Amino acid sequence: MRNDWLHKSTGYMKIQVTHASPETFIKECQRQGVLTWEVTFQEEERFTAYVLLTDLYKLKKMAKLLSCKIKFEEKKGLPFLLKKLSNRKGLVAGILGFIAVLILLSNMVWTIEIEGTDPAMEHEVRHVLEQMGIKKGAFQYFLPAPEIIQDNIMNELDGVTWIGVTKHGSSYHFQVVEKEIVEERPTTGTGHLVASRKAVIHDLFVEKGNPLIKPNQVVKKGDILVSGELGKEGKTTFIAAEGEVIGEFWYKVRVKVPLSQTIETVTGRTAKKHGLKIGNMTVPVWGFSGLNTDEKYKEQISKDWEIFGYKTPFSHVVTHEYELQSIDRERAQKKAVAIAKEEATKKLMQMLSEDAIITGEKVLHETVDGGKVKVSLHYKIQDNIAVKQPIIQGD
Amino acid sequence: MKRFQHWLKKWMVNYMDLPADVIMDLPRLTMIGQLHVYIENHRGVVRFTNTELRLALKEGELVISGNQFIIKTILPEEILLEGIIEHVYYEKP
Repeated sequence: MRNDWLHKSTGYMKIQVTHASPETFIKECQRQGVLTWEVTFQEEERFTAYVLLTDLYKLKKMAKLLSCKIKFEEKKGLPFLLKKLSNRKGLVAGILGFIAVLILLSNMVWTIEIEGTDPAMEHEVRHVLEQMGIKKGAFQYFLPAPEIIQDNIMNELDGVTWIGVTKHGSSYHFQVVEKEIVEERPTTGTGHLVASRKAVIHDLFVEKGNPLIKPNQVVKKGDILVSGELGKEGKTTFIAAEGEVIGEFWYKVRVKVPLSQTIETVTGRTAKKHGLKIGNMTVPVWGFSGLNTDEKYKEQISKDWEIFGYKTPFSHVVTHEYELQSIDRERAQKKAVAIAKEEATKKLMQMLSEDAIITGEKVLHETVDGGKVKVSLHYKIQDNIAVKQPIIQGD
Repeated sequence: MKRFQHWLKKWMVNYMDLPADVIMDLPRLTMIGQLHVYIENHRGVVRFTNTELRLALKEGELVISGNQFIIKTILPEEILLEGIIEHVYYEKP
């Protein structure tokens, strides 16, 4: 069987033969070894057939031998196509240029991903990579292999334990494992721990330093609790005293809570009105009835109409109406006190540190005066009272 | 002698299960409906028009008639004919 693909690459032609019968032509073709196909009878002594471009010379010889006329009707295949394309050099140049650009761009480095580090280390890795020539827009032809990149970075950077380099097409991916450096605690300057307020010592946890106090001792503000001075007199060394001193102290808080209160709430019934505003006049468009209650809250949103940035005198007004309900809340005195306590605790906790514990609370006094409950409360609190105070050395 | 050869070939086809077209130089026809006919072992085209194809055989002629005939492929001993095939018959010389 014939091979279409092969014919197209070598080129073939449709010929019309006159003054010869197909039988004699076919016979002669086989004698000369000319491949022919799709022989179609048109009329007596006229037919068409396909022949290969490579048999052109033999065909001419045959035409002489059979004294027939051969007319070429169609020319097909790659050689003819190339000839046609040579007339369209711009198109060919465009296609070739596109392929060239595609190859060029696909061989560039487009992204560099660095994973597993903090920004500082990432910056350093990036810097080293840039020195090696690995940056956005670099050509991959001139870049070393990933293994070499890996070796180089690991040699250059001290803070890196291991770095994994992988290349996915046009992107490089770096997986960095940093050396974990055990950070030493910043050495604070030498100093004592002093009391931040007047309190009774409840407990103390001294990490460093010389405690000068005992539990249940009363301290004033500024008293040294834990000294940073160690050793005997004359041979003293100074350190930074560290620790926690839990002191107990008291607070008096006064709170006023109103006994009755009027609250307005929204019931949930709403209505929506649409209107068209022309100048100062509003013409209702949709939603005429509205709410039929006395107490309501209105909300108006108006939107100016604009055409190409120019204001028109028209605007669209949407009015939302919400039904309101007012509730008088009479509070029992007991409840009021409870609320007062709550408020006082809240107020207190804002003033103290997070670790503070309220160990006791007591209502000292409560009076009702002018629709308000006045409550004074007494709180017992435990909190850290130690504050660092640097030692000023030298005389 | 020729008669003996002919007899031997026929005997081989009948008793040795060998294909007749190979041994006896007969044409082998493969038809696909009315559309195609594929002929092997022919001895050349005697006549070709769009309604008739005559092929020379070792003995006699093979005539294929129909309409809209096109010789799709032609090789020294093979031919593929396309068209609407109506009759296939043999003519003795």
